[in-house]
Amino acid sequence: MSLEIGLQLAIAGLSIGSIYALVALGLVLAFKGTGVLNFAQGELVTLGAYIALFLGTFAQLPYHWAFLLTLLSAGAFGVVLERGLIRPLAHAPAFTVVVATLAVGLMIKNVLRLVWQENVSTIATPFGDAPLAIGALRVNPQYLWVIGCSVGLMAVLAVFFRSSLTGKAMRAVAQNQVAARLMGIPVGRMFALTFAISAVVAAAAGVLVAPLIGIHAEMGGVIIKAFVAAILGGFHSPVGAVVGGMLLGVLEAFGGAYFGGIFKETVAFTLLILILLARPHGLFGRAEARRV
Amino acid sequence: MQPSDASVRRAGLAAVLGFLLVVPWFLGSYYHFLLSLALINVILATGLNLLTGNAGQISLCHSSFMAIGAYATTFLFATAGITFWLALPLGGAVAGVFGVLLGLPALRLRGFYLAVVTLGFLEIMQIIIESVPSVTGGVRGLAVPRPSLFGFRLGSDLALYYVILAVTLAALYGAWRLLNSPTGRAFNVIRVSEAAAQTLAMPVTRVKLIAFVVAAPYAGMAGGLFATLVGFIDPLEFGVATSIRHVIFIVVGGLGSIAGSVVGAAALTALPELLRGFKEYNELAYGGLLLLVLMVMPHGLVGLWPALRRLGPRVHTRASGGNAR
Repeated sequence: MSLEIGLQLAIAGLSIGSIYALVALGLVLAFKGTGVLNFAQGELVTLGAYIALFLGTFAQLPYHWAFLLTLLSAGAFGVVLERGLIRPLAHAPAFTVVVATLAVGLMIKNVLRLVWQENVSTIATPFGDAPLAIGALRVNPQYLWVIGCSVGLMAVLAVFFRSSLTGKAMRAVAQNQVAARLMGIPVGRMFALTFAISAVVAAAAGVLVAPLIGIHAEMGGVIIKAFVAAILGGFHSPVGAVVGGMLLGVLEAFGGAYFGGIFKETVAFTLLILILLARPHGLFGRAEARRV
Repeated sequence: MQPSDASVRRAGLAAVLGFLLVVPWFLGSYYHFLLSLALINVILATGLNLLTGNAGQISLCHSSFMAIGAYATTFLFATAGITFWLALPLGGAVAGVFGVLLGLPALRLRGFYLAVVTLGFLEIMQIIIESVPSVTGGVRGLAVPRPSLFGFRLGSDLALYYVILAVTLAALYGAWRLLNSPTGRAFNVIRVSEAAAQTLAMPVTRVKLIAFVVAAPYAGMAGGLFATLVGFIDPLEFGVATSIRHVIFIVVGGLGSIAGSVVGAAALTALPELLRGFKEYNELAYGGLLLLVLMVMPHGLVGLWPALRRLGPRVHTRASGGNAR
């Protein structure tokens, strides 16, 4: 394999990997912040893509405005989801909450399917489809946009959680709810904000991935890959989710190139199992001390 | 005298059993098929509930065990020429062997990490199914012949229904016996606290492995019966969506309860049929109803039972409420 092909595969892998990373990040943020495994995360991706589609085609907004408005409305939807679903189920068993989010995902998917039927649509982006030539490399500019946007969004989030007061408050809630409440942090509001951010990240993934795979009701299936990526990184670590997502994307790209299409996923899953056997808490996870 | 809890339960069981034995005689073939399907799902949910609800181990690959049972039973019966009555339990046993294979690495993992490894197992199983078309028929699927009993071909769905009913009852009895045995009680202890189990000198590793080895044949037998009932194996049926549906069965019914497995599987098999009238809205209605049930009854449908008892006439019982989950 020549260096060029290797690099091209790496870029393709990183671009789909950034999508996995964003969806995984949304899962991990919600889980870390509120203890809820949100299985509607995949449908939040779908929803984001469809909102952008609606804004782009029916409201005729240009790409960047449609993108921004999509993120805002996704944030609002995240708050609604937390208030309407997660909070009423605050004392329910964990399995019940997971299945409840699954049910919400099913409903979102079917509403979208009722409106748009089985059509596969796409969003026009300002980049076009002509490959970009960098030396001997030929790169789809879409890939670079996806990677750049994802990394940018992740950087913004990292700064937010590290430096802003609200971000620190959210981390405090994630660490210890009771102590956070005693310090005067409005825990309920932080929960809502956590879901808002999680939904924004998912919607961004939806808008970004739309030109690559098309917009259809089943695109939320990406949640399975994201779940795997999040576990690979260690389910409690946002950094791990990002690294896990990128790694999974690259593994799939090279696995597909070496072993052919149907083994693409087997390669990734086999490696995943091996990694988990060696490190049962993921790459960036720590073994939790269990109280006796 | 007011009826006691136990006698109410016994009367209820007798009523359900009577219904399942007698009423199908008067129903059409469509209902035989539907009832059979519900019973198959009950077998499957019972096994999964032992593993997840009692022993606390998440599995997202129960559809794979079902597939293994379906292919193994069909292969042994149709190709190797073994009689169906031996092929079916052998198919379950093959699934059990794969249960050990999955259980061994799973011993190191817990929670979501385990869930993802079972997901990997499912993906790899799908690839294996596709790559040995000589046994599995590959992506095109496999036709399954109907077996015969004492020289009678089980051509009618009614006859097959009674076979499935018998297997279901045996499976439920087995699960009940297991849960009332030291091993079954150890399942529950391990779910609540592995440390406590260790302190009580329970062999944690072995008990976890037993949970996998028990749950897999349930799914395997369900798979064998399913293939026989439908007459065809479609590999696409055994994907992650099916596995997730199995988890929904036991969560809606009630985790860690045999009655929960029965009620959840039966209700959620019937529900899509009842919602047919909604046409294109049926999946939306399904999601909505599911959500409603979970919001109102976070402990599943069987969580309703203690509440109903409390509403009903007061009965002086020694152990009322204490074991409600």
